[in-house]
Amino acid sequence: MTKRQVVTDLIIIFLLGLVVLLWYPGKDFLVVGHDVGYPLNPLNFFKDLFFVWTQNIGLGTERATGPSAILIHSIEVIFSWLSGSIYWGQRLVFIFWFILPGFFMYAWVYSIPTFKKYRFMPLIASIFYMFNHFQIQGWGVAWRTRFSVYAVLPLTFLIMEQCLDKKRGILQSGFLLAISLFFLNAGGGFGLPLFGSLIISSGLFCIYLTLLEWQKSGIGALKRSLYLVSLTLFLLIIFNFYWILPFFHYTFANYSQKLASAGGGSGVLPWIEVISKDTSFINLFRLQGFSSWYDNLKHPYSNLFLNDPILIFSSFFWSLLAFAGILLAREKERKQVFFFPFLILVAMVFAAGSHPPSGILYEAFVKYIPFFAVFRTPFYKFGSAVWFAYAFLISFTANKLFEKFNRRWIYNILSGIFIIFILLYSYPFFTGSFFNWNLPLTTMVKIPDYVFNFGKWADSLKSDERILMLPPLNANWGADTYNWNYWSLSTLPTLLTRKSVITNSNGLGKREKILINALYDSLWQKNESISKELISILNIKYFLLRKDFFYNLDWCPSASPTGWQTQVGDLNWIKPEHEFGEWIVYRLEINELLTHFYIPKEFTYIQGDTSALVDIISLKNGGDEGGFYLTNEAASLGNVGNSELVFVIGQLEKCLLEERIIKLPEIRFFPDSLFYPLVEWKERRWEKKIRSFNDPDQTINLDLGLATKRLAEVEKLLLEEDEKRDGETIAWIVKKSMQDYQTRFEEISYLVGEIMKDGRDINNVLLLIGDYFRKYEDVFNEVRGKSINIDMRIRFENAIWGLEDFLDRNKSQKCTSEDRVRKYTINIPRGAEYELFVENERFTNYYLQDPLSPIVFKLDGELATKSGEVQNNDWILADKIELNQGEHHLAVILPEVKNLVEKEDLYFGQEGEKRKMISLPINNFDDTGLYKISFSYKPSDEYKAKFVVSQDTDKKNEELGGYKHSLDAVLSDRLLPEVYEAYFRPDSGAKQAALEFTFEVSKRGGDTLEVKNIKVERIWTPTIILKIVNAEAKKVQVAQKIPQIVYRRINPTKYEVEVKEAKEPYTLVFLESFHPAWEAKIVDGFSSKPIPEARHIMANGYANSWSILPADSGGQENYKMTIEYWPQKLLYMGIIISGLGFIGCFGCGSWFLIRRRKQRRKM
Amino acid sequence: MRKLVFNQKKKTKEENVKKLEKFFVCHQSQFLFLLISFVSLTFLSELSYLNLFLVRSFIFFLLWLFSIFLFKLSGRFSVKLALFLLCLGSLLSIIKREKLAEGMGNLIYEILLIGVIQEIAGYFKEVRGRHKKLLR
Repeated sequence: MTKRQVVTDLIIIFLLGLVVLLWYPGKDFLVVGHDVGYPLNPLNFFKDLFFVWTQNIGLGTERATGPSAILIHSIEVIFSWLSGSIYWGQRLVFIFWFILPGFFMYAWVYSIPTFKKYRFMPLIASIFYMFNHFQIQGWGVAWRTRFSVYAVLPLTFLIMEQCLDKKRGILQSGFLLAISLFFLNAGGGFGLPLFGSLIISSGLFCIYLTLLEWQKSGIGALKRSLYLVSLTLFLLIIFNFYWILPFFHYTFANYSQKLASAGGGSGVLPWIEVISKDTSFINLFRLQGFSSWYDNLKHPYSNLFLNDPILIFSSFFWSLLAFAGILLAREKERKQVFFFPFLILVAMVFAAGSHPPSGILYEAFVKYIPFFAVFRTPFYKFGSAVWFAYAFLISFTANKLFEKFNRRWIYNILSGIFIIFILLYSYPFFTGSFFNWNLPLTTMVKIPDYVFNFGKWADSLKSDERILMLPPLNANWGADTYNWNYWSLSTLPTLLTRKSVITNSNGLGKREKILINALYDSLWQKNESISKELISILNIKYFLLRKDFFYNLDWCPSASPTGWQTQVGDLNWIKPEHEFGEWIVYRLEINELLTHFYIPKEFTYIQGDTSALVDIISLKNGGDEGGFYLTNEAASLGNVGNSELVFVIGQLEKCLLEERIIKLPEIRFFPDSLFYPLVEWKERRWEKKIRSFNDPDQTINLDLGLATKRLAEVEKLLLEEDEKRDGETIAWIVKKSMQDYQTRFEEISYLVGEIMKDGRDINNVLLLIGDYFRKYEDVFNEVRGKSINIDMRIRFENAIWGLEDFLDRNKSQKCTSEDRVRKYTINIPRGAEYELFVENERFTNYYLQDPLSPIVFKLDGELATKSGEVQNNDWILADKIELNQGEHHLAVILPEVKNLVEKEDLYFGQEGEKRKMISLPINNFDDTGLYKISFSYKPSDEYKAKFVVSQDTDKKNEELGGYKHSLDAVLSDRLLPEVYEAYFRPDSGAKQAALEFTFEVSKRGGDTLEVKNIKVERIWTPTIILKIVNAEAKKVQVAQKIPQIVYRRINPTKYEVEVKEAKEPYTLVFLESFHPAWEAKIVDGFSSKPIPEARHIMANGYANSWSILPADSGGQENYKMTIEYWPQKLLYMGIIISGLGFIGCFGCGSWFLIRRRKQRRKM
Repeated sequence: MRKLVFNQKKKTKEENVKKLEKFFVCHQSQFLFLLISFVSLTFLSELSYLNLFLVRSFIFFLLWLFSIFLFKLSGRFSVKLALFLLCLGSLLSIIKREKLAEGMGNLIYEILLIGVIQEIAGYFKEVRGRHKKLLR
């Protein structure tokens, strides 16, 4: 190949890269939304990445991954700056990412001397590498981090091959590899799993080349490879130290927590299954298998590729071409050509994820290899390796075949036709349709100018106060969406401004979400005092009403902006400040508005969690520059000075009146298995360990666990049609499992009796056993019909009798909140007189009489009936009571509840009736409620009867047909009267619900079913608050004494606070999300003294606060403090190490070069 | 002339049949071994817990592996067979027999895996041989 030909090829690649320009329908369109994450103000966004704490998300959050994305986002900044426009900047960025993989692929194939004779091989390889369906999918969300790994893949092969073939030195190669991976780092941090394909392919290539070289030079080959890999890794770590240090600090602190929140290693498996649903080997051979392609009629192009016969055949053509290469390779070409089919086959196992037949292997990796769970989207993480190998092999075979014609012009024409075929097969690249991910939603949108104008205005704000977005987002999705077709889980302002613009998005922590949702609720209900207090503690100064909010998107609905405009328009303290087209900014004129740092005039101490804060605010009816201290431990409130603002929240016993959901474990080995002794051995070890504690509670837990396992064996064996075992074996297995179950059950009964004899509290144990036993009863009822002999049936019947007997016997022993009685435990921090407040009933139409007039309650066994005094409409002061320190029990007795269904009795099985369905709608239905459903029934034998609760939100059951219901039960066909009881919590957004009974007579006929006493009752549980009444207590009059503070924001991770006249102890509150890594220090000259960690506590349910004593400042009244997020120092340290690493490498490199030149001159 | 061609063709056909017969006769023991393997693997796959591993595709994989050793089939043969099966797979996909096509894909994978490994092993052997020759 001549230089001219190379330049021509590179020009062709560049020109093909300009296809990006075809995607934009107009000059003011941008690719944003969904997972694109393209900043609308790249420089602003870029600056924020230099800090490991950001104010941009929620109420401030740790962003340890920020620095790792500096390089990838720097490209956006450079191109935006060069072009002077965000629009052209994005086009240039996309062209860059489009052609980069092509250039590197070209460079690599061109660098292999064996293939230089094939004129079009590098060009075809690079075009296929740029134009394929894997890339189309990536471009749908402009997946720049993946493109960086995709681009660096051929570059790694190039350097590695040259080094292991001894064409380039180890030092130089190691440095080049490290620097390539440094610049193309997949966004570092959370982008690291994208390196899956690179690790697999480069690792295999390295082993392959080493083994090959070993045949020639023996152990020397292995040494060379090890040196290269070690040097690369060492340099890579040094170069990337600037982000590795903060990121790994964050990861080690949070990995297990994050993994646990995703359900542990096994918890990510369901998601892997979704991604791997269509990744069969045959689909991968067709270079398909994208999870979004199948069963999606709205997909912009997949249906054509899946249904058109020519395109189906074309999809197989790629594999035919690729693997035919093995048959065509000549001696010298075999080195690469034999490796790539192997790479395809290995990478396929990983890309296929959990799809059979290799899925079991991938699942095992996820479960048992630490950190492997990060590869939770296998197809997208390992797919690059498959496409990379295909690109090489296809171009090789095509060139090899075309060359066989022995005519240059035929070779040229056929190569040209082949290139056109590749481009046509990837035709969506020329239409840009792949951006339409769910019409009308698309990632190619025209962002209105007013959005940018708002961004500029927000950035011009000097203060740290926050802006609240209206209306709130859909609670399930937490997605920001606009009628100009934008939809994303990242809210638009996070891409637009560095200011804190908050809403109920997924970026919020659990506590923060409670507060923000409470604010939305109070604003909607126009509860001004609660709204103002929450606005104040959340540090909100503006509201942003977005009239272009896509609130009526059918699958992601929210409240209408017009409704919110009316709501806020009615409040006179909310004033319109600016109007940016469809976006209106309101200024909040409230006296209570706090600054980012403040010293509370009074502190309210609450024993409860963040949700209790809203109740206390409502009870206090507003506050005045106060602070709230929340704790779940009564002891922490034992000594809180002379404050009268101490509140205790009553903890409802068994918080929800719902049962625990007991799931039967997965059974792999049955008692007839060769491996079952292993199971037994494992169980015996576990049992021995538990019994050594000699703790009845733990033994009960053990027995419950093992009994559940035995039951799971029985259930799986009988319910899943087992064709491989004969009846005798099944009977033997069931007998064995049931014997063990019976032993466990008897031991549990015995232990319960023993605990009672000791007089110990058994309530929680009984509740737990009750939940398990009810599940057992359900299982026995299910398997009873599958009994294969009379002995088995008797065993099951006996087991059911035993369970029922146990539950009946112990019913009276259980202390739990029941239908009309709510029981609370109150932990009193210190002995004093308390006011008992009971939440007023908000729901009318549910009780037969006013439930709290009078209030009937029982405190520590003493019954009282009080008329109560209504306060703020929401609370009733029930009584004033003297309470000692310690635990107290309170029961509030509520009146009878209305039945919410009209018919109480039903009869099925009248003559001639074969199948019947009766639906009873629930009256006054409200999706926020909890309902108790109960009825008794008397069945006849062998009929089929089902009971479900249907809602208008029920989804179709794709596997079994029909609908999926929240409550779905098969009614027992025993000839005895049965009682059904269940609690039902509706789906969010459900507007209607009904009880549905379906009855079907057996073939024999003459069956009947009588359903009686059908009851649907709404469960309501009032909140209980106790407030201290201390005669000696006086409101701490510190208004004149509290110190004056002035603060200065140095950066998002560091603040300077100037304190004046601090004569007494005080609490400094910092309205940024609580994180233990925030540190307060008192500066004294060049030294600084940290405030002890024990005095860094959470205030206002989410924020940081430090209680500061005069001794901390050494008696000084005027001093400076610094508030710093210390992991930022790790970033600074990392930057220094990376910088020194770079300087060292370049210094050494230069020294080697100079020395080599000198040596050459001498020679 | 036409008769002559026909006779030649007939002769070739007969020769092929004879060749095939000879092949079967010469490899009786191998075929018997394969048959026994098939029967025993099928029997083993009926046993509890061995059925977890001995699924149909794995039995095929093992039988194909035995065949390679017994009949000394080259890696190229496996690749050619896989390419032929790929063509069949495309037809199955066109006529929407997705389940069958998926099963075919698994077979293709197994055959290719064996074929590619054989080819790589052969290549390594060749490189070593060439290097030894050079050293000599």
